[in-house]
Amino acid sequence: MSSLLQSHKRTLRIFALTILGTLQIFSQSTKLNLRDDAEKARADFAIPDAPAFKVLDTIPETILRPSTAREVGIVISNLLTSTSTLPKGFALEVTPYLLFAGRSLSGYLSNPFLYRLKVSAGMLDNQDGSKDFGWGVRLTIVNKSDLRTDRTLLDSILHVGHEFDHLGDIADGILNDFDLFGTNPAEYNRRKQPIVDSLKDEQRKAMLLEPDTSQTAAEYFDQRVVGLRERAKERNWNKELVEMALAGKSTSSDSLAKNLMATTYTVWGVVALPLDSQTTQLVGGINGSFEKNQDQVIVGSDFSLGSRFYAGNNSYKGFAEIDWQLVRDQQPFYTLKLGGELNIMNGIWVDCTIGYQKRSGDEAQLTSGVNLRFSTPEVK
Amino acid sequence: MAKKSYQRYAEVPIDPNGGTIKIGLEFPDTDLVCTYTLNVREKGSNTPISGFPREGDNTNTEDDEYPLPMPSEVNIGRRGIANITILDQTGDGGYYQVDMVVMQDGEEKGRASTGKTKMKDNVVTEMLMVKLRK
Repeated sequence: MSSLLQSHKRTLRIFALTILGTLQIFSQSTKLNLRDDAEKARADFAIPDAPAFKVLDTIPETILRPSTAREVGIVISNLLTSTSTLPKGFALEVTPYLLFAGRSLSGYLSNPFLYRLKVSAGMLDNQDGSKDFGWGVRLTIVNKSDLRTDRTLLDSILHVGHEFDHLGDIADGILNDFDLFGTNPAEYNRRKQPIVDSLKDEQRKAMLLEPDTSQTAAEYFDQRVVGLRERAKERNWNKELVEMALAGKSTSSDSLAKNLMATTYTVWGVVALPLDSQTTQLVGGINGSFEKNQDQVIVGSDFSLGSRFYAGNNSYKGFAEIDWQLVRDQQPFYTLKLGGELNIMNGIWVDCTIGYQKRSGDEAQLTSGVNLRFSTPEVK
Repeated sequence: MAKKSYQRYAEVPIDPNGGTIKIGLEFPDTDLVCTYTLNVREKGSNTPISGFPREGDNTNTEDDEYPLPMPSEVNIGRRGIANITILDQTGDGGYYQVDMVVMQDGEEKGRASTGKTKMKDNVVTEMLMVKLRK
């Protein structure tokens, strides 16, 4: 049954990769007929990790991520050392609570909001000699899909860990050569491992399971953790999520910090709710920004609102979406979309959409898109 | 700056006439799940002393610290041995460090440590040992 499922998944992945190229060509040809501003007529459901870089419209090659308060001090000191001239450019992302409280699982479980709060800042040189400075704050207010705070997963993982520790402790008693560990720990562990492996099979027998000598104890417990994690992901993919981010951009007309002037402010917000236990989710997104000129007069603004309904599971899901966007001095855009998301391999997602887009007073247009999204691959 | 060296085994001198000795585990700078079984075995034997082994983990804020019997001199030659399992509950990997610390009268007498180590699998085991001596 399991091999049948695996084969089904592989077929789907190969199919997805094959149609990806075709859809990409189709999507490029339809996009040629679209205006740039119409392309923006969609709500942004992904809260940017580092809003400062989003507001600067750049992804820096090097992002400084100091992990202690002392390192932050050194970074800031380095930025400010050379007179009052601003540096050529920098990108900084920090989790403030982590800097002062340190990384700790018990701390994270007690204060997940503070551990998830991120602050970003960046600077970009413009061709005319001016500089853009961006800042951003990202807040995760609720995230019930966070595997770190999933109590059911945590309890099961702790159980696995204690089982493994217990086998190690019994094996120490059997080996009974503690002086060896003091002089040659690698040799001690080499002798201990087969004892632990055999104890694992004894444990399986006691649980009325077949002993499996093809697996070491490490492989056996590794496989159990992966299984628990996958089940938790299936269980949690549509759970409640509330996130928001704020960002601002200031411009300095020259290379001096004292001439900084605020020009753009942006806010993002997303709320996701499950509609049933594991197969559906409703996501609402809001995104707004306004821009001021040198005389502090608002010269541009836009606002978008969207809602997306998902049905499926953690690996494959279809969606229906409706977006509305209002840009200053323009008629509002409306978009209806249908699409799907498919996890084709570890850390890689394909996102396909087909939609209907309309601006008041204009003809409706058909849109389509295929995107590859990348996330951090998991340890398998 | 020279890189600090860590040892998974340490011989720790204690004061036989001093106050209570405590053996504890610390998990600095990690958000991975760590569980442990801590055993204290008699001198020259694999027999655990009364009250051991003890189990624990790093998901709560309670101290993972256990007092040894008094008078302190009865602990000379005993070994504290921790079997530790580190588990990746998110699949994102990361780093861990586990330290086994011996305290007497509120003062640190010595420690064994894994050092800061990169998580390479979903489950990793470590062993730390301290031997108490005069």
